[in-house]
Amino acid sequence: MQYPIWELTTLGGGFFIALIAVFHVFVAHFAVGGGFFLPVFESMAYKRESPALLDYVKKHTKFFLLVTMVFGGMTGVGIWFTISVLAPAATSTLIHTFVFGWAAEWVCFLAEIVALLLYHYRFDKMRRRDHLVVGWLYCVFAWLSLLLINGIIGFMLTPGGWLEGGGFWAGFFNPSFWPSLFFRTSMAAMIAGLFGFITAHRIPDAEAREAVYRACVRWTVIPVLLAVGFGWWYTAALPPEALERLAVKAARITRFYRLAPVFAAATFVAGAVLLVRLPRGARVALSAVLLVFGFCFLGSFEFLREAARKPYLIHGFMYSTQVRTADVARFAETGVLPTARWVRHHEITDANRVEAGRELFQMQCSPCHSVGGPMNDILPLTEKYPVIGMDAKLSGMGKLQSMMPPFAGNLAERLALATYIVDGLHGGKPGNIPFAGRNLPVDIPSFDREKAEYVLLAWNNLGMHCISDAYAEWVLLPPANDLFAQLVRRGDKPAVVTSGVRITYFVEPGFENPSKVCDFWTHAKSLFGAQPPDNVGLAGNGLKGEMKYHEDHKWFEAALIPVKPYPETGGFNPYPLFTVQARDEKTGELLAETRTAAPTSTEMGCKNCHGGPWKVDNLAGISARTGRDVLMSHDRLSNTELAAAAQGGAPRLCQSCHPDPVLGAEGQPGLLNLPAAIHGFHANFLSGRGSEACAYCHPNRPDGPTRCLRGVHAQADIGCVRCHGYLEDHALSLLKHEDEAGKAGARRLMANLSPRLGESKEAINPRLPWMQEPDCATCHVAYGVKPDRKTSVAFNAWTRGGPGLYRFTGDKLGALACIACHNSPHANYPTVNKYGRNRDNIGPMQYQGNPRTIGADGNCGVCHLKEVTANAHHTGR
Amino acid sequence: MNPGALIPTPDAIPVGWVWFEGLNILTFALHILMVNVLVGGAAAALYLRWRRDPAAAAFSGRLPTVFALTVNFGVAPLLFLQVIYGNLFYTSSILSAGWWLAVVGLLICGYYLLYIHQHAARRGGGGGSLLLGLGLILCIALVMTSVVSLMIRPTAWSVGIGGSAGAFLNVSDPTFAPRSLHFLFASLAVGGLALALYARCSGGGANVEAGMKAFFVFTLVQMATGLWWLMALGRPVLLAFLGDSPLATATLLAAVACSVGALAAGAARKPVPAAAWTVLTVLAMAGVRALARSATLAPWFSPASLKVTGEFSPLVFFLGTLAVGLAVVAYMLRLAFGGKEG
Repeated sequence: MQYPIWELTTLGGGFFIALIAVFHVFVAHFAVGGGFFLPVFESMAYKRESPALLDYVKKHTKFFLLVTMVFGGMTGVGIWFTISVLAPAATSTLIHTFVFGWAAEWVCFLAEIVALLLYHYRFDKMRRRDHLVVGWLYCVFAWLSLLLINGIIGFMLTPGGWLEGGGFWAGFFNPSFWPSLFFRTSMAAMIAGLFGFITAHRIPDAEAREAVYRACVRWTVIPVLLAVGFGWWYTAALPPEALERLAVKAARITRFYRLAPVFAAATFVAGAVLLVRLPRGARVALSAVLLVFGFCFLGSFEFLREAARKPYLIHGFMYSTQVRTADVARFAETGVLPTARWVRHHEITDANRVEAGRELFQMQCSPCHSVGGPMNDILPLTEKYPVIGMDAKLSGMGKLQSMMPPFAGNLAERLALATYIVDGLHGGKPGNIPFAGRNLPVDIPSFDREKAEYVLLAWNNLGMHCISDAYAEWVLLPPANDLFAQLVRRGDKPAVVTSGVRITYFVEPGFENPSKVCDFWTHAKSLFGAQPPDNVGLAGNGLKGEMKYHEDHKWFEAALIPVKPYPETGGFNPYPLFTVQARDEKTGELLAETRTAAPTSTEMGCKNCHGGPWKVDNLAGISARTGRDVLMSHDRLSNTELAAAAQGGAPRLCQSCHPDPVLGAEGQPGLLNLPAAIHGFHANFLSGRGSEACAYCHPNRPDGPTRCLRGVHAQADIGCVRCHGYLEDHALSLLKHEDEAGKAGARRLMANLSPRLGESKEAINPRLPWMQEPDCATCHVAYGVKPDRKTSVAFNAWTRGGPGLYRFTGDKLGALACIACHNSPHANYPTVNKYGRNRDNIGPMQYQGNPRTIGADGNCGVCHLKEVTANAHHTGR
Repeated sequence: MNPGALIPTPDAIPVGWVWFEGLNILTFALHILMVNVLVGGAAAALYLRWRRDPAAAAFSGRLPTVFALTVNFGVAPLLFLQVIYGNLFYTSSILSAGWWLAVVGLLICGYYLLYIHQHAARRGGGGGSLLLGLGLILCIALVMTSVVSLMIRPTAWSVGIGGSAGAFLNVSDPTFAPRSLHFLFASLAVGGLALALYARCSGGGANVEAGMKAFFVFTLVQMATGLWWLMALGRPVLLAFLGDSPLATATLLAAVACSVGALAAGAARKPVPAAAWTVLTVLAMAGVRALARSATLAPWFSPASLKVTGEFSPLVFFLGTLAVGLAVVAYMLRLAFGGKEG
């Protein structure tokens, strides 16, 4: 934030550093290894009195000088130049902390250069002993230069006591100093051996050539073994979270992690093979291959070291964005642009949002990402996101994705960056189209208040049944709506009819054949291990049928009806109507009839972050592309192979692994239950938001095609968070339950979540999803006492278990279910439905001509034929 | 725009800034002497080759060694500069990032070209590689001049607001031309001196005369460009050297006095005294340069304002390493040139 930014697009993302460093590091190790190699081989030549061998050493010295002093030396300067323009703040820290370390290294370089030049130019012109002394002095100073740079490079990954103010020495002799030094020394010797092979084949004398080959084999295979051992020691010195990043977290890096020993083994084997007297051409070819193996061995180690350090430049002190860890919280409050020195836009407006986002991109993304270039190209990584998803992605950085630093800035800046990436780099993504609503006709059955003998009440128990319909990929919620009904015989003392009647149901025309509009039945066997006939649900109920009596609740029910929100005529309608009829069991006489909506929506907003289009009419449904991306994300983050399984025709039910009370699924007991896992994971990306965060996934966008929350609470402007809490609160309540159950995954998801309706995590009450929900009585403390509609909060007081849930509770008389008169949660009477105002109000409209709760406003006459003087349903007798 | 608002906040330094300024002046003087020898030596080698002088190959064969030492002696002043002026230096190098990174490629190519020339010169060839090598080295010098002059010119930094193309060259700076020419003519003068010294060590001859003549002429010319540079400095800076600052004025006078001594030795065709006066002149001029930089930056930044952490033990470690390193270098040189040949 302090320095100007070199605007690189294609060649951004550390391209120049990688380009120079990859070669420099290899040659620099050669420069050190050669320091041992040259005097050792010179001594060998003297000992054997071999002019041919001495001639080899002389020629190898020239080769060594041209490679190490010119290319190695200049690329070393190049790395310094490069980091100073690409990461000036970090370079400044390294320079200021270790200036005298660098200066001492300069002295070593000076001595090295003088020694090597003398060794080369005075070969055969000095006494043998003196020449050897110069060679060994080169060796000493070359190794000391390795020791010095090793301390500084190691500091970047393991700063150790420097972070606590330990100064130069604490940073220099950091935790990885010694293992790294021994590892690099071994690598240096190995590379000297590898280069020895390269020049050995030009020795004309066969005996000398074989002697050099044999020696170079020793120089190769022994250091490889030592390097593997020291490498093991080195990994033990890494911070645990860094090691975890290498070993588990990121598939691409993990590949390298596994490749390093493979290249070591290949170097060892190929090096040993060179002992065999192969034809000269074969040896030359194998020497070249061996050099490549060695290059890859060292390269994979360096890549891993760099990767282990992510997301830091200096571990625990400065992120790869050059933002100090200590400054992130401040920037989240004040924003980063107001104090950034080199930006044009210090404040974000509607007019400059994209341009300000571009500047934020340069500051915080371009250090690691190119735009259309070879290094970490940002384009394919962000291609799928609309602005909402991109913003969420940025919001989650540095939390579960430990390779990424947190975004440094406030909410407006984060949105500006997301907007730039989506609109500026990708040319924009169509957002969700606003859905104004459709006024579908609702045929409300007649009711003769004077003559009717029965009142039939019907409802759905959840207010909305969500469906995930990328069945070929995965499923978490199948098409499975539950309908319920109670029949009341009117009279002076009305009674709930529990026998002698048949209650049947059938769906409105156009919704009878869901198998024609979805492929649920194609994949049901793989998903659920069962294969119901087409248009029949998992409990055996179809789109028409008979309800079964449930004695505990005195109601009739039909479970898991596979109704879909897609009419055969096309389009999307999440409120298909069911007609429910009560007939005399013996005579078949129609006693009563009513209708109710079976709310069922596929407007699940996975696409907002996982990309892809809506499946149907650009309104709803999880497309295959979206579904596949969900699996790929899961695979990447949890090391699963779900995408491959789906690709192979075996999609999975999420609850086959994750337990879930709603399906009674046990899953794998050690895993988080599904609601805890999903909400806990996504809360890390959607923190700091209000009810809109709920609607990113659930079908409740104000301008969306479902608008699930449509009952009396919605009319009172009481949104999701007043009952369920903010997403962080909601997730924490679920995760705490799992944490208390000893499930290891909970703490990782909880680590970066802060409660918003509770003072601390300790203050959040754990709950089991579906079985413990917000309790109506938290706000509605007594009949006739109205809660404060502006301040009442139901969050954090949960029902005790299944029987306490609103949808299972009954009145004080033990006769009627609360839900029979008040309707489903999220749709308590009176409702306003986007598909016709009274589509959810059929019951009260039918029986009392208004949309209010059954019996409200003194409408006791719906059931009671005699004047009622007390409210026994609510207060008891 | 307030240029001062663009200056990044500097980091703390371990010991007082004077240490770093002193080390910077000392090592920069050595570096620029090496640069002068390299550039001037390459030019002199071209001259010898043009005259088909038999000494050409042997003389130019030393250039790769000079190149290696030049780069090495460039590291130290750049390091010490970054300690006290890093916040300014990084900024200017980012504004010229493309050119700055090109220096790396130029260094590699220039160095290899000198080796190619060394190899080819033994067979009488390599003139093209030497010429090209010299050209690349001059390009490096121009970029260096641009970056270090831009560093002390925050008024030109606005080009980097909102993102830098990394393509800025500070040629619009009034001091750029005299700085560059001053360096170029100094190099030609030192190149002549190097040729004279080499010829003297090789048994004398016409090249001593030719070299010293070149030294004298180019020293005169570079004194003129030095005056131009002085006049191109901002008025407060100029006045500092004209009496406002006793230290600056005294240093400039000392430098001028030394250069007059060098000029006199050149006129007398005495290479060794000329070399001694030249070293003193460069050392004093490095001090003048540091004082000019400090005076130019005075409105915005002073290294005296840097926070000092007071961590002295690494300084002791460095000084010890330097003493041992120099002793070992001397020992090796004695072994190589003072002992019996094998």
